[in-house]
Amino acid sequence: MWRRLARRRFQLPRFEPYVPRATDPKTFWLDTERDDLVEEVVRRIVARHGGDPEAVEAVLSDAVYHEIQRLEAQHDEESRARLGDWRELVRALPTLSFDRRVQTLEDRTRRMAYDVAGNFDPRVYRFAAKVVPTVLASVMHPGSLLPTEGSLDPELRSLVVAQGDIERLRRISEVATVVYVPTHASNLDSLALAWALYREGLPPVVYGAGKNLFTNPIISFFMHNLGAYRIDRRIRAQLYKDVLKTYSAVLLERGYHSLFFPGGTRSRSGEVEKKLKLGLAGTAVEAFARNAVRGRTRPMVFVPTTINYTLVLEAETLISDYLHQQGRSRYIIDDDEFSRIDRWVAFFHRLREHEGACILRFAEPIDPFGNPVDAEGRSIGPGGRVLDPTRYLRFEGSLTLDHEREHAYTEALGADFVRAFHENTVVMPSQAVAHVLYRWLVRATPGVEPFARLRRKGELAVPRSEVTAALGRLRDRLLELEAKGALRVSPWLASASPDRVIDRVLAEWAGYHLTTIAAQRDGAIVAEDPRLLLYYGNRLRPWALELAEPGEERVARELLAEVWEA
Amino acid sequence: MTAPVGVIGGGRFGRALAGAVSRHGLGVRLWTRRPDEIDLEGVFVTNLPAELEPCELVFVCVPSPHVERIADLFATHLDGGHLLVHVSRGLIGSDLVTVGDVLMARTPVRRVGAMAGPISAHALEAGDPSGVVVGSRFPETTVSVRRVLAKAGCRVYGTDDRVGVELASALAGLVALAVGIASGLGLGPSMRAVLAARGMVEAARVVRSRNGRWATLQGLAGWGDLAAALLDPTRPELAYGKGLGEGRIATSETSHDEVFIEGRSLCRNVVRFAQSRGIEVPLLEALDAVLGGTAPHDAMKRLLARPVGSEGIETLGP
Repeated sequence: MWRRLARRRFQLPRFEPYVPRATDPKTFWLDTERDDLVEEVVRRIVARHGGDPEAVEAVLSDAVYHEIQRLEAQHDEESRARLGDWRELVRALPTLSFDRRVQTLEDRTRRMAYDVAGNFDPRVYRFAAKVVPTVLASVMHPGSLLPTEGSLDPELRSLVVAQGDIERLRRISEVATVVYVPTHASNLDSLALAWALYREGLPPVVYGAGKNLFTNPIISFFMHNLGAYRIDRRIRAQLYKDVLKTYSAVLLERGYHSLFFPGGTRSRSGEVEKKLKLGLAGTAVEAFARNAVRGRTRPMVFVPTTINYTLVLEAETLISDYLHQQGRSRYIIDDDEFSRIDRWVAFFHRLREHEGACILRFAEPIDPFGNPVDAEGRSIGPGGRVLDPTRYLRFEGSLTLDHEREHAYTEALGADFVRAFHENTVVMPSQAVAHVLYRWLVRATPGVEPFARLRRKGELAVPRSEVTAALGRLRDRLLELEAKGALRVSPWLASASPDRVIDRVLAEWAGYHLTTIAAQRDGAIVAEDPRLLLYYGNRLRPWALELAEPGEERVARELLAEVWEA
Repeated sequence: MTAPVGVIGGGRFGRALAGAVSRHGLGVRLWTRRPDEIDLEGVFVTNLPAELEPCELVFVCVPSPHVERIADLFATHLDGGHLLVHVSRGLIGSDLVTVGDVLMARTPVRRVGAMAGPISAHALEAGDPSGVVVGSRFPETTVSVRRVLAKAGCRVYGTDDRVGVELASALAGLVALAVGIASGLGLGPSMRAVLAARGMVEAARVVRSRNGRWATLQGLAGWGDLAAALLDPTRPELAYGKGLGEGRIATSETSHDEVFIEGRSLCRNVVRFAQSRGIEVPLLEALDAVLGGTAPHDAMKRLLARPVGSEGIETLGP
C-alpha cells in the first residue's frame, strides 16, 4: 500500500490559485508556471525534430523500443497501465501520416514532461519549515514531550552548521540565478541543504531527485511540493533524457535557483567525487549563453558545496555496494537505510548532542567560466577587475551559440568544481580516526591484496595511547594543510583533545552502525570492521601522502595503490 | 573592422610570426620588453600590455620559464573575449604542468590553445609553405589561427587534445636534441633513426600517462616536428645537440640561433616525472645525464649497452 501511495502525486487542494508576491523568491512561481514550463519543453523538443520526418520517426521508434523493454521487465502496475499504449503505437507507427507522427511526438513529450515537472506549494514550504525541526528534535529526544520550537532551536542550529560567505550568497540570490553543486554522500543531502538554505534566509531551489526517493510517502509529499522534479533512471529513451535536460534548461533560463549533484550518484567509496557527470551543469552554461544571445544578461552563478557528515546514514550499504560490485556500482539502490525509519531514528538519536554533525560548506561562488562572483553578481577577474561574462561567448565580434564551445567551458568548470570540493572538504572527527586506524592496518599488512586486508576483522589491535598520539599528529598536519588552503578541519576536531575525539567517534559508531567498526578492549583499539574504516577514512585519501607519518610514505603509497575495481 | 592579432614576445619566433601575419594585410600588435630593438614593417610594437586589449587572437611566444610572469602581467588586460595560443615547447615542474594550463589558471582566458609542428621562424620569414597543429578544446581557437596563418601559406590542422600537443612538442624537441647529439658523436643515419624511433616510444609513454593521446604524437606536433628536424640540420634543437655532441657547445648555453632551447630543466623534469611513475625512459635519462655534464660519448655507450627487448609499442594503444 505504501508503494502505491508513494506513486501518487499528492497535492493539497487549492480553491484559489496562489498568486506570488513581488517579494517572493522565484521558486514560488513554479506552481503558477507549471503548465507553461511543460508547454515550453514540448515546443522546444517538437521544434528540434518536427521539421524532419526521419528524425521524428527515429525519436519515436527509440522511445517505443526502450519503453516497451523497460515496462516488460518492470512487471508492475505501471506496466499494466502503459504497456498496451506503447504496443499500440508500435503497430500504428508505420501507417501514421507525418502530421500524426508529430502530434504523437508532442503528446508523448507532454506526458513525460508532466511526469518530470516539479511543484512548489508555499503552504507546504512554510509548514515544512516549522514542522521539520520539531520532528527532528522529537526524534532526537525520544520519550520527552515535544519541545516548543524556540526551545529546540539552539541544538538544531548546531546539528547542521553552514559555513561560507552566506551574506554574499544572500545578495547574489537576489540578482542572479544560483546553481548549487554539492558533493553527494547521502540521500539526506538534499534535505540538509534545503533546510540550511531556509535557515540561512536563502531562497529555495528546484532540483531533480531520483524516483526511488519518492518511495517513502511522507518524503514524497514534501518533495513533490517543494520544487523537486522526478527523474526515473530506469527510462532509457532518448526522448525522456531530452525532456529532462530541456526542463532543467527552461527552469534555469527563467531564473529558478537550482541544485544538481554533479557526482550523479552518492559516492560509494566515501571519497569526494573526482569524476563528474556534467550534463546538467552543461545545461546551465547553455542556458546562460542562450539568454545572453537574446540580450538577457542575468548572471548565472555556481556554488560548489561540500556536505560533510561525521556519520553517514547509508555508509554500510554504500561501501558494500562499492566493494561487491568492484566498481560497477548498482546505479539505483532503493532498499537502503534511507527508506527505513528505524535507521533514521538511530541516526538522529546518535547525533543529537553532536555540534556540527553535518557541516555544509559553501565554496566561493563562480560564474560559468570559473571567475569568482561578488555580492552584486558581477564576475571578478584578477586584480579585482569586473569582467563581462558575455565576452566568453563572442567570436569575431558577435555573440554566438556554439555547443562544442559551451561543452568545453563546462569541462573546465567541472575541474573548478573538483578543486573547490577538495579545498572545502571539512574533515570530520570520524574520518580522521578512521584514516589513522586504516593506515595502521595497511602498515601491518604490507603487500597484502586489498580485499584480503578487509577480511582482517578484529585482528588489528593498537594500544590506545598510540592511536591518541597518531591522531594528534594527524590533526597537526591537517591544520597545516588547512593553513595552506588545501582543506578544512571541523572546529570540534580542531579543538577537542584527541582522547575525547576517539571516545566520541567510537560511541557514535557503536550507537548507530549495526556492525562494530572499532572498539576498545584491554587498553587497545581494535579494528573490527575494516570496510567502514576504509569508507570513512577514504575522505582523506587525496591527501594520504601529505598526511603520512615521517618515513612512512610507503604506507601512504600502498594505500593509494589499492585498487577496488575489477 | 577585424580585430588586430596580438603577439606576446619579441624573440625570433614572435618577430617572424608578427612579420608574416602583417605581410598579409592584418593588423598586428607585438608586445616586448624592449620595443626599441624591433622594427617590423606594419607591426605596432609596444611594451604596454594594455595595448593588446583590442586584439582577439593573441599568440604567446615566450620561453616557458617566463610564462608565469607574463601570464600575471597580462591577467588584468585579458578577459573571456580573448583567444590565447602559445607556441612553447616547455613544461613546468616535475608534474609537467603545461603552458596552456598556466595560462588557464592565471588569466581569465578560457579559450586557450597550443600550436606546434614543423613550422619554424625561418619558414615564416622566408614565406615558405608550412604546417602546424593547434590543440584546443575550443574549436574557435583553431578557426581563428587558420584564418590568420592560411594566407602565410601555413596549413593549420586542429585537434582537441591540447595537452597531447604540448607534451608531443616538448618531447619531440628533446628527442631531436638527442638525435643531434648522436650526429655530433658521428653516429650514422641508421642509428640516428633508431634513436628517434625509440625516443618517440618513450615520449608516447609519457604522453599517455598525462592523458594525452598517442595519435597526437603521431601527428604534426610529434613526428611531424621531429621529421622536420631530421630533414633540416639547421633546426635549432638539432644544431644545438650536434654542437653538444661535438663538444663545441657548453650545456650552460640556453639558446641557439636566437631560439631558446627547452633542454636541461625540461629533460630533468620529464625524467623525474617518469621515474616517480615507473615509466621507462632510458634515452631521456641518457640525455638528462649529458645535459647534466656527463660526457656524451659515455652516456651513449651506456645507453647502447642496454639489453634489447620487444619494441613495446603494442601496449600504447590507439
